[in-house]
Amino acid sequence: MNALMISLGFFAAGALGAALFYQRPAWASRAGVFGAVLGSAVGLTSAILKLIQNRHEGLMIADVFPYGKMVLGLDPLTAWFLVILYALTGLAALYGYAYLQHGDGARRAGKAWFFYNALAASMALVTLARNGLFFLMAWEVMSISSWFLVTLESDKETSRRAGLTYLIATHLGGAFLIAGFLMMERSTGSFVMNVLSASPMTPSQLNLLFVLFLIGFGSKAGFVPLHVWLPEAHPAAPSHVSALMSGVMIKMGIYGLLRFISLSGTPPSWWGWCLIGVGVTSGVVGVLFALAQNRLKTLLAYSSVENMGLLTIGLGLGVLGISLHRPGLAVLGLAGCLLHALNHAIFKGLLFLAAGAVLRQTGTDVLDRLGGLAKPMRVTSLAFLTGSAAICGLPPLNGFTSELFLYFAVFSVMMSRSSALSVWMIGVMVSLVLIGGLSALCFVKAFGLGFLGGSRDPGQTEVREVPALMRWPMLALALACLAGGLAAPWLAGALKSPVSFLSGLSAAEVKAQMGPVIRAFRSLLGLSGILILVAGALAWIRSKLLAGRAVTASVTWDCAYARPTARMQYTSDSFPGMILRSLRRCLGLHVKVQKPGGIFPSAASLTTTHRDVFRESIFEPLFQGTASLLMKWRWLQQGRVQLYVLYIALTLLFLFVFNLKD
Amino acid sequence: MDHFSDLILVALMLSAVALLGTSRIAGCIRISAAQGGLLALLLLCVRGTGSPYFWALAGGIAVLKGIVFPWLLRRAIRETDVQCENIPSVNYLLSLGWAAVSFAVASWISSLLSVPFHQAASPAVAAAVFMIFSGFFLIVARRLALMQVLGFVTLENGVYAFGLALAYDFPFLVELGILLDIFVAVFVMGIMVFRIHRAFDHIDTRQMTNLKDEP
Amino acid sequence: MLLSSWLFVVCAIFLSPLFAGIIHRTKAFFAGRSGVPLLQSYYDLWKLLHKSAVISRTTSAVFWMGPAVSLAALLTSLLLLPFGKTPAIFSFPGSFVVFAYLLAAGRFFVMSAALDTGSSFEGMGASREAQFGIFTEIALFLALTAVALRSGSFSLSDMSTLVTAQEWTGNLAVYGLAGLVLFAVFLTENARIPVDDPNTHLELTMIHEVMVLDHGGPDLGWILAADGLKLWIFGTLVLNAVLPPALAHGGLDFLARLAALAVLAVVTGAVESVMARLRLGRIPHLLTGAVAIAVIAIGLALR
Repeated sequence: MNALMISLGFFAAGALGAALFYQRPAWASRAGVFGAVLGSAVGLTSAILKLIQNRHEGLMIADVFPYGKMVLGLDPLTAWFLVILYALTGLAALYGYAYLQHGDGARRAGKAWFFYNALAASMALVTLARNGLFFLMAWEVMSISSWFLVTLESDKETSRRAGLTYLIATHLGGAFLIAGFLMMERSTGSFVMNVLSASPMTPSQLNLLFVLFLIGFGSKAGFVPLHVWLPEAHPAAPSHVSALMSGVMIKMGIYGLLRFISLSGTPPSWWGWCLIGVGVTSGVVGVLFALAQNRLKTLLAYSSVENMGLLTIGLGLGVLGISLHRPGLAVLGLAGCLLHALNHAIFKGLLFLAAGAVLRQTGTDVLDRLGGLAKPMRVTSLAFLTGSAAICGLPPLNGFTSELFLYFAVFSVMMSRSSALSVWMIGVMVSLVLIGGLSALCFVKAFGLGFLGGSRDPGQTEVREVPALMRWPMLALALACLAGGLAAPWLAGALKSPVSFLSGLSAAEVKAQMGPVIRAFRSLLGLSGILILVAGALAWIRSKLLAGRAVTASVTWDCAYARPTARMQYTSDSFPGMILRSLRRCLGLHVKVQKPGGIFPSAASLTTTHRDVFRESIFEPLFQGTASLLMKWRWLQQGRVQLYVLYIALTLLFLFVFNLKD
Repeated sequence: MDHFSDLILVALMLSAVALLGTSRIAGCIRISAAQGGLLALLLLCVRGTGSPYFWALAGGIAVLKGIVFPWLLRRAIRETDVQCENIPSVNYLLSLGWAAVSFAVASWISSLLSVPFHQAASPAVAAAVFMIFSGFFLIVARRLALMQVLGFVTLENGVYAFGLALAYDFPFLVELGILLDIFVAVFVMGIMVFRIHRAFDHIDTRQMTNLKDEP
Repeated sequence: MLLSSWLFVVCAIFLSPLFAGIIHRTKAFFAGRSGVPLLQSYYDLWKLLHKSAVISRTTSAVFWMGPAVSLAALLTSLLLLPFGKTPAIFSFPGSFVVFAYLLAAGRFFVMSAALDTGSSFEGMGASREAQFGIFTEIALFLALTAVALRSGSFSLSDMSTLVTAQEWTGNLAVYGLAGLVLFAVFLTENARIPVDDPNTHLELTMIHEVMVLDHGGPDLGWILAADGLKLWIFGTLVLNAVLPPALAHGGLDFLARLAALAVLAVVTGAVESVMARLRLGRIPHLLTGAVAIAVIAIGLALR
């Protein structure tokens, strides 16, 4: 616990330093980065140790905090999420140091690093807090500091717009959380998070609480249809912040749900079904929307929605397992959820960093203007390729390991031969396969169009690789993707304590249930080794064979067409064209074609625009309706101070009378 | 239900899937005819071949559904010379996807039903419910009147298979009556198709909305 | 036991080019031609490995990584594949998921290599491969799940070795339907008629062939070898489902299965000769039909 406090101290010092040197950006960014990196290093070692030792610790900060004691606590669940947080924060900070020096980011270094450290510290406090009120405070600090980071480039219209959407979304979500925690306080008598099943809460109250938390935490986690802020906020933020937000912050929503589940005893089975439904919807809708995007960072943001869907499927399977007393399902589902949280933080962080490198070097992240970056930006391309392969769940990288847990969870039900449940599990399996296939399409598109082939923008001639300080964090994360895949048997071992904490099963039971998966991971390790060796051997043979021969460089075969241009390559709309066209209406895709005509055709154009149908058909009408409803009360706002004082006085009087009546 | 009847049930289900995915009208009619033949075989399998009464019933089904209906429908095609391609209002991809989903739903329903029947009848119930679903779907999701006739026949085959699965012994006259009813229905629909064609020059049911009053 | 497992891998590596040869001969027979020699694929491989290459200036390292990774993934997945009663070298629950994802990894790299040429033709091929691949993957998973439910194990190896003759005859419908679906997957994955025509000469109609237009020399050699292995692997999957557990006693069973693979090659050639190619837009229908049939197989298997 002390080490964690020290790490929080480093974050605070970094934030303070950045704020103090507000006038001198170079010092501010140094102070901020030092704070973030040192804090992460100390925190990461401590969190890993605590996780391995399976420690449960508590720390009283203040006895006289309003509404109960202010307590911090550490248990395996917290430790697991702290590992995720610290693993990414330091690397992203190193990257961000170089990233922000470019362009006019340097001017805002003080602000940027103050809020970066504040964000990191508040996320750590969210996982540590054991008092509802304190949790909410940390939660709000997290939301607000990330809001400042999203609107860092506040002179841009898109940034301001994204900021507004994010602010509304996060506050609406926060309102549900406040309602939920107040309800908990009402029934338990204090804000301290205790096991709820011991308290006098009726099942219907508990159900209401679940719905409140599902919406509140779901809006942060980006469940469809509450995801609309995500594809706007992520591209607007600087890339290292996008990495942190997508890799860690949105997972705080999942953390909140997990914490609530751990407090609520044996949940009813409909919670599990509900979470599975939400997960499948988010997964499929998220990846379909990702497919339709032509901007790299927006695509990655939608893919985060998809991955949160996968996490939620795992969570739902776990909850279902707990409530139906199927230890296999519970253990494997929860383990899949937790492991995917870690894996997603690593590969999505990596992908956002690589996308940021592209954005910094070329000035755009529109796929239809990119292409051919693999030659000038080799390290970035390698990083993006690794991240893409990992997010598609390809062995031997880490994405596959967590998906395998989810498959095993589904299989554990099918093996028990309960046919009604199995029918549903087959549905879950099909959606997992579907999500996998669609994300392969999506990331072949992102990598292939962005980095391979020729550059689609003729003005783009001089592109160079990013500086070393940006390359190394990407390489480290890429290595982590590979290591995560190869070290899966040991990672699964580390999962035992958080899973046993969440499911309420004994460590031995958890170990027994994980046995087959760990066995599969061991074999996978062998297979991965063989795959890498064989691929290497084939590449070596190829180079030996070609060594003595004259290898000619030529143009790509062009079918005898006289003037091929790079603009003729496949585009982000045509690559997944068949699927996009058949789902045009669901995806909000509008195509405008001006066909060439006449004997000597001249001008022709094709414009595709994509809008989020959820935003268009749910939230915009809702907010417009609310606005027009509230406009009718506009006469209350006269702009005179005296009148406002009168309102206040009247309100106080009303409350006074109301209280007297009781 | 023995082993052989299982295979016939599978073939019946495959024929329903094929009906959902076939675009040629002539092909659809052929599949429907095969379905009739399979149903007759299923009857013999389930009820046994001992009594001449079953032979008569099976023969009736085979002749009517396997020979007479296809002949009637082919004649309707010839006389109205409609195009040989089907016009789906729900495309084939979704139709086939729906087949997968509806089979899952059908087996879920059949696992919920607790009807009194002997041991391993549940795949038969699932198959029958699936065929009923497919028949309904064909009626709803195809625009040519001819396909609606085929959908109706499929639906009826499903109902009949359901009866077989439950192993109810209908009196001979009732079964014969049902068969005759369907015969009349198909006959009337055949004439209807012809009439629609005469009146509208096509048998696309969607354009019959022209008949409703203008607002 | 283990010896025959390794024997299977060796056979796969050295005999798989023959598979394509038999298909060619069958097609030639149907067309009334004498056709290329049975061993033509071996000659081609030999020739390609001794040739130099012409490489496009547009490409990067991904271009040559594609074929190598694809072949490596197929060779690795061979270790997970049983052959009748002959178990796989790696057998563990869930191995069929690893198998499917290994194949997906190979496909991912081939598609990336195609996009690396910057040619719109190859982009088109990659686009089609990726989109049809989604359907084949679902069909493959469902068919294997149906078999897994019957055999009581989610290990690809056990799915074949644990099945008894009695179980197989008792659930012929499940195994037959799964085999049918796997055959559709076999045709699609190997770019065969009715899905794709390996002999077509118009790039606009190709799927698989168009992705590798720019590869030459040893790279094309890896691709040819991978094509042969893919035929062998998916053919084995089909046979494991549709053939009875024991064709003959002891070593004869192994030989009988090799003969069955040859028969499957003849059947494939016959299918290619008598069927027309589907319109591109109809291919998803074929595969969705396969998915529907796989669902029926699972429904029967769950009972």
